[in-house]
Amino acid sequence: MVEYLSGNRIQGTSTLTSSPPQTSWKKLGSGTISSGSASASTSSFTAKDNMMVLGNINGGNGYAIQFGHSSGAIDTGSNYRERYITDGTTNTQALRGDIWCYYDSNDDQMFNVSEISNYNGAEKFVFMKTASRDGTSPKLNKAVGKWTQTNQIDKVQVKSFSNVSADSKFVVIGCDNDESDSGTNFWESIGSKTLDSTVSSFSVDLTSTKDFLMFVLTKEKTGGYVNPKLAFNDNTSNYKTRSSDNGGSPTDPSGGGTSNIFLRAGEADGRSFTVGYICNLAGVQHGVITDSTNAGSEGAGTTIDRNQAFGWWQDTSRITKLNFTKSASGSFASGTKIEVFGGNI
Amino acid sequence: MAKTWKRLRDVVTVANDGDQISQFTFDANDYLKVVFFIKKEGTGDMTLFPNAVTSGSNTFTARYGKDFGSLTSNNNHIGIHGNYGQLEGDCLATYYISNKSGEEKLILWEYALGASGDNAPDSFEASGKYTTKTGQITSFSATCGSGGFGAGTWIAVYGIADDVLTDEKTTLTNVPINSRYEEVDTRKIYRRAIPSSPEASKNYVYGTSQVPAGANATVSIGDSGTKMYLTSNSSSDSQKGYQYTLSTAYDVSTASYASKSFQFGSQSQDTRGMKWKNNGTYCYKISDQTGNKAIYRYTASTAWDISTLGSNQSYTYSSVQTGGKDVELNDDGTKMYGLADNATIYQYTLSTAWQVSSGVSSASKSHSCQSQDNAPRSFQITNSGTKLRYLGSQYNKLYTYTLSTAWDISTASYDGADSDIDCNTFTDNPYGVWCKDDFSWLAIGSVDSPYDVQQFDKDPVWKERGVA
Repeated sequence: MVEYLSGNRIQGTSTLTSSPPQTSWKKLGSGTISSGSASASTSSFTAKDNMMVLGNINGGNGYAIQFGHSSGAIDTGSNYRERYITDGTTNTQALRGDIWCYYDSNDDQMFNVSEISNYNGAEKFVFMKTASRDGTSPKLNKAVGKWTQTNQIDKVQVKSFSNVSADSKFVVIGCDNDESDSGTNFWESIGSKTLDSTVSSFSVDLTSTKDFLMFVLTKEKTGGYVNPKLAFNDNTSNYKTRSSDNGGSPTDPSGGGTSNIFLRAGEADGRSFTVGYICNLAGVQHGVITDSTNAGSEGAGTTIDRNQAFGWWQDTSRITKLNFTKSASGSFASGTKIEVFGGNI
Repeated sequence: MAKTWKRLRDVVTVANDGDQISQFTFDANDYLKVVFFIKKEGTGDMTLFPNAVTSGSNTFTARYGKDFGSLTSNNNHIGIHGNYGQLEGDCLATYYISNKSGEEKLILWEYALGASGDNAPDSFEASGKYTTKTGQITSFSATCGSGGFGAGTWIAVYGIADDVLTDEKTTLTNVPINSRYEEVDTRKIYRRAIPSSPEASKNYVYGTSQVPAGANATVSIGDSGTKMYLTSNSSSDSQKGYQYTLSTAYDVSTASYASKSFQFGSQSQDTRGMKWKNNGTYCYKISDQTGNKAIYRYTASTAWDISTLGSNQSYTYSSVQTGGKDVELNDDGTKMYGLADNATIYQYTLSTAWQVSSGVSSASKSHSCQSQDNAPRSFQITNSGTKLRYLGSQYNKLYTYTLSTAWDISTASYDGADSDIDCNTFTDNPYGVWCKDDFSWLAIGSVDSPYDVQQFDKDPVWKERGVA
C-alpha cells in the first residue's frame, strides 16, 4: 500500500533495481520441421562454447541431431559416434551420420534435451535425453555421442527418420566461456517458492507462459518418506511416467498412476534434489524429463539413490502452474525450495 | 529483468599439459551448474573437490555407473568422482548442485567420455552428496590422476542471480518533475522516468470517404505502428475493412488511405472488431449478424496487407455468448476472447494455435464489465496479458482492469475510477480502441462527425498522477 499525505507527499518504499548480468545461455537459433518433412536446420549462428538444444518432434521416426560449421552445409557424413539406451536396451554405434536418441516408427511424440560442448579445436560431445511416447505409453531414452569435427558448431539440424506428422520445433541456446553481459538470457525466472511451513502439497504459479521450462527443486522433508508427484494447472488427469532407479531397467512406477508424474525423488527417505525440463509448446502434449538425487540419512556412510523420471502430461493446455504433492507418510518441510525458468523459441 | 542464471566467476582454464586445477573461488549461490570440459592428458580418475577438501573419507558419498549400466554405491570416498577406469579421450561433464547452507550439498552429474579411435563415447551418470552442512560450496579444485589435465581444459560455474535493489527509501518528498510512481507491490513504489517533452495528442480525420457515415468503425494498428485499419459494419460498402499508411509510426496525424480494402461482407454481415495476429499473417474479425454469429480468420498472402486476405475459416460463438462486439487473441494464439452484448468478455481455448475452424472450446471463464458500463464497444488485453482495456459508450469511457493471472480473464478486477479515460472530451460516440502492449500509446476512434481517430502519446492516467 501507499499512503498519500498532506503537503503533496506520498509514503511507501521506493526502490530502483539493477538487473542481474546476462552472462549465460542465449538463444542462437531455432527451426521448425514442417508437417510432411523430416528435418529442419537453423541458420548459421555465432558459435558459442556451450550449447543446449531443446526440441519436440510429433510423429516421424526417431529424434536425431546433426551439425555444421564455418557457415557451411550440415555434415551428414560418417563423422558421428554414439552410445545409447532405448528404454533399457543399450547399444553402441560408430561411423554414423548423426547422433540419435530414440528410433521407433510407432512414436507419437518425442521431447529431447541435449547438452553439447562446442570448444574450438576439440571434438564435440553430446549427451541427450528423450522422453518419447507411443500413444499413452512413455519410454525413457538416453545417448552420449560425439562429432569428430574440431571446428565450432554454427548450425544445428534436428531430424527424424521419416516425415513428421505435425509441425515440430526446436531451439538452440548457447553461451561462451566469456559470455558478455549483453542482450537477454534465454532462461528467465517465471516462478519461485520457498516453503515456510510444513505442507503436504504446494504449487508454483508461473508469471508467464514459455515454450520450454526448466526447474531445480530442493526438497526438505519431515516425518516418513516424501515422494514428490508433479502435476500441472491443478489438473490430475492424463499423466504417464516411466522411471529408472539407479540405472535399472525403466518401469512404470506403481506410485504414479495417471494423476501425476511420479518423480520418485524420495525413495531413500531423505532430502532430495531434482533438475527437470518440460516441453510447454502450444498445441502439443507436454514431455517431462527429470533427474533426482536422494540423499538418504545424513552422513557419508549412507547409500544414496539416483532416480530418473520421464513422463508426459497428455493435455495440450499451456502450463501455467506446477503442482507438487507428496505420496507417502511424510510432508514437505519448511525450506523446500523451487526455482522455475522458462524460455521461448 | 528477473532472476536468471549467471556466470559466478571467470572461467578457469588449464594453461599447460599435465597441470592440475588449483583451488579457485566463486560467489556463493544456492544452486550451482558446473560445466567441465576436459582435454585428455593423464589417464587416471578425475575428481572435483569442493572447498579444498582433498583428504579424509567421511565427507562424500556417491552412486555412479558407466555406459548406461546400473549405478553402484560408493560410500565414504574422497571428492566428486568423474569416472572410474582410465580416461580415454576428451570429456564433457555437467554438475547440478543444491548448495544450501546448513544442509548437506546434493549433487547430480553426468559425463560424455571420449573413447579412442572410432569407438563410441562412454557415458557416466552419478548422484552424490558433500556432507558438510556448514556454509556453502564456494571453491573447487580438480585433479586427473597423476598425469593431470590437457592444456585448454576449462571449468565454468553458474548460479542463479536476482535483481539487486538500490536506492531504497521509506519516505518520498519533492517528487521530481517528469518522474512517475507506480505501485506494483505492497509498500513498494517503482520509479520510471517519462519523456521530458511528451507529445500532445493528435488525431486523424478519416471522414466518410471510405467508412460510410454512421457506420460503426473499429480501429486496429499493425506492422510496428505503420499501418492502421478501420472496419465498417455498413451494408452500403459491403462491410469493408480499409487500410491506411502511417508515414511516421504511431503518429495517426500522418495517416493516408493506402487504397487497399477487403470486403468482409462476402462471408458475414455486421462486422465489428478486427484484430491481427502479431506477425500480420492472419486477420480475425467478429460478426454480429443475426443467424451468423461467428469469428472469422482470414489468411493474408502478404503480411499486414488487407487487400491480400484470402482463405477463411470461422467459429460460431452463439452457444457461448450473445452478440459479438470485439475479438482478441493472446500472444501465442491458444486463447481467444469475445466481447458480448452483455458487456461480458468470454474466454475460449484454441487446441491448435491460431486455428478457429475446429478445436475451439469455451474455457468457461469470463469477466463482466457491466458494473462500469453496459454498452460494450470494444476491448483489448495488453501488458502481456495482465491488463484489460474496455471501451463502453454508456458513459463514453475507457476502463482498465488487472488480470492477476496473465491471459486468464476470470482473474480480472477493475482498477478503479482513477484509471478511467474519459472520452467525452473529444467525442460523444467512441467506438474502437487499440493500445500498445505497455499502454504507452493508444488510439480511440469516433463514429460522430468529424469521424476521426484520436491518439494519446502516453498513458493519460499517468499524466494526471504526475500533476497530483
